[in-house]
Amino acid sequence: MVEKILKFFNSLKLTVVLLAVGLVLVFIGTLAQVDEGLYQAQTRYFKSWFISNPTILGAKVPILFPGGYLIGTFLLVNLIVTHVTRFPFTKKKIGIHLIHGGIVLLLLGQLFTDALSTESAIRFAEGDSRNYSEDFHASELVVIDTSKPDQDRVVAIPDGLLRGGKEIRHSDLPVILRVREYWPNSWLLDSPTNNSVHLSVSQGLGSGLHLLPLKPTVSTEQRNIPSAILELVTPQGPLGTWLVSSQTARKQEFTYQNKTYELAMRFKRYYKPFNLRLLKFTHDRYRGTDIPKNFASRVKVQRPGTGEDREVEISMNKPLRYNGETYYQAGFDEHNDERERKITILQVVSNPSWLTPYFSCVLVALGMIVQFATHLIGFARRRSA
Amino acid sequence: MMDSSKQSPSRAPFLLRIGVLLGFACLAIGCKRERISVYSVPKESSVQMADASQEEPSASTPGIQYKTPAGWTEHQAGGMRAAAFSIPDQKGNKIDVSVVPLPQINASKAQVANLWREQLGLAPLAEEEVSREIQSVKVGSLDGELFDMVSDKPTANTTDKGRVVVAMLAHAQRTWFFKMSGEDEAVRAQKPAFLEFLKSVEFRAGHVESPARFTSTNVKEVPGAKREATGTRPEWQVPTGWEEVPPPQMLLAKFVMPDKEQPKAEVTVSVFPGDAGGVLQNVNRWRRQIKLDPVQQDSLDKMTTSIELPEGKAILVDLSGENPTNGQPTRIIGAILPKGDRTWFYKLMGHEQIAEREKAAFIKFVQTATYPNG
Repeated sequence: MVEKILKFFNSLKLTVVLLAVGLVLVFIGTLAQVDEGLYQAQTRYFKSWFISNPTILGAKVPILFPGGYLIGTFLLVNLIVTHVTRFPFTKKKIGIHLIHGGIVLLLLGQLFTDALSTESAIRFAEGDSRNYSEDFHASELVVIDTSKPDQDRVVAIPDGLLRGGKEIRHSDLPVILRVREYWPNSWLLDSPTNNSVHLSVSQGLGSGLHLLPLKPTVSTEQRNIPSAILELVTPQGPLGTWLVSSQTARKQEFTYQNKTYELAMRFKRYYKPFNLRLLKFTHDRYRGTDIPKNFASRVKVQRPGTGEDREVEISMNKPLRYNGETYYQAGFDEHNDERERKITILQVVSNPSWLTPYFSCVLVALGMIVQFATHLIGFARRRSA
Repeated sequence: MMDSSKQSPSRAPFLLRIGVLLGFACLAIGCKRERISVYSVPKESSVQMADASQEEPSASTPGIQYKTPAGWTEHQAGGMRAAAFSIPDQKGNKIDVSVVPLPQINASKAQVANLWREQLGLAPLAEEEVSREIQSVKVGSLDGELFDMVSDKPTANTTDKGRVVVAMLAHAQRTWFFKMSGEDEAVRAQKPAFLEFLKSVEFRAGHVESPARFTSTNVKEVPGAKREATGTRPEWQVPTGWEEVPPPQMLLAKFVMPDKEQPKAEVTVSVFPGDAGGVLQNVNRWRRQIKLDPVQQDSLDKMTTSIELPEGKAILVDLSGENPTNGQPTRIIGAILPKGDRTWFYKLMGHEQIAEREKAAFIKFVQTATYPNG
């Protein structure tokens, strides 16, 4: 059996087929961005094992196509098996080993980037501090124990776990969360409209409001607003039903066993061990036009653990690299001119394996130099002999 | 580059190691799958410092603080209003008090005063005449200007003479209007309380958002860039087939007519304080959107009709032009309804055929709207 598997992967034909399929995947995945949006296309085509009903030239085709993970993994195994079985470790083949090692590192690096990297944003006004950034796409349901004087204990539940009307139980949750309704994208209204749902909850905000279920958006210009109606259940009986929605940041509370908890749906947060405080946001335009010349945020990095307290300027081409993350000047509030306190938007990218492509390229380049040099020297020796 | 040799059994442990490595890689992907996390964080109040009101404006913190006089009933503020009150008078009518912050306006005092005078059916005044009428007034610790106007005869909203008292001042890059309106006698009786109310006003540093019941984020991509919601909006009967979608900023509501085939059309509703520049300016703005030349007032009168609404007459305009991007025949059917101190704009814009098909439904939609605060 192992022999058969090794034989399957030890094939140059497989390499060619995988590269060809990869080529097709890149082609259809790129074109699909027109119909499905950038984020959705990237997730569905490149960050998946299989793609069902891919959009090819604007039409959904009822086939199962291999996704990026599958092609990448097969290529990786194919390369490793082929390399190990065909290239014994000899001095003469050092160049080949380096080249293949570089490609393996590139593939693995991409895999780890996908698994470990996060992109989020901090949006704050002059004078504000933040010790967290918020995800571009994901939302989370949080139950926060606020009983301690200086710290909050947060149980964060990804909104995807609310799908399917489940019960959510966790040892750190004081109650069972029974999902009565869940809308992956929605919009809350004061008055009814076509297709809207009249909401009825017994606690907190939301009773008497209307919710318009929306199709989950795939546009990079929009984001989903998940909402849910939850029933909080204790061993003594239900506490009531609550509406949670990332459309509102208003706090809702419930009390159980003399402890007060907050309940909210919000954009997924990534907390930092330090605070960023926006001191000043500047936005220069070319004289007489609205064309941005430069925009920059002067921030103060305050880290209570180390006593660090310093000022940094983040501008369009000068990101802040700190704590394994990169803070880019990504944007600003479009109504800043009317605001007394200007608002800036920083993009926060965390990618622990960001160096792997550089190492990979160096390894491949080094391998090629060694390989060609080995051949050249051998050739020169044979010629002079 | 490739070389052929037979598989060596001695390499099996190496392959095993590679397999383990790949297993870890797959696990790493698995790590990204959704799971519940538990962590402790410092309390927000100790971290967020100055920005408690930034995330979501609250109805009780609309950028100002004040002492509500006895007998005044505070209402949920909405739309452009930072605060709203009503005071019952002896005849059972109500006096309205509102606080509206607007981005600083570039209008003269006479232009502003004449807006209110027009509502009272009074003739416009020249700049120097208005200057003579203005009194100074204290709004909190700041100096403002007070306009006090009374009509010659009953107005649309009063059975007796109407009176409007407005205090205006510029602060924090906004022009703030504090307005009390109602029947002459009742407003006069409440004027001392109004002046006391003005004195009690404290402006909250920095935060001058209009209050919102909800913050909608669906139209913005960057987390936290929360669009302000619309405040309380009218209730209306939405025609069958129209689909409501989250409105872009500055709009109150947006509806699309989903049509599998192009072309498409959409209806938008917006509201602005005052006359928002007037009918002529807004119609010309719409004309420019479909590549039509602006018109003068006399031509405008010929091209508008009116529709009867419970709230009064709305001006209806029907424009045919072309889509500037694809050159397709495009039509704008707009209804403009001045109501109280605001003007409502309804606009149907889309392909000629769709607009024609939806015109009757659009007019009915405008007619069925019932507005907040009466």
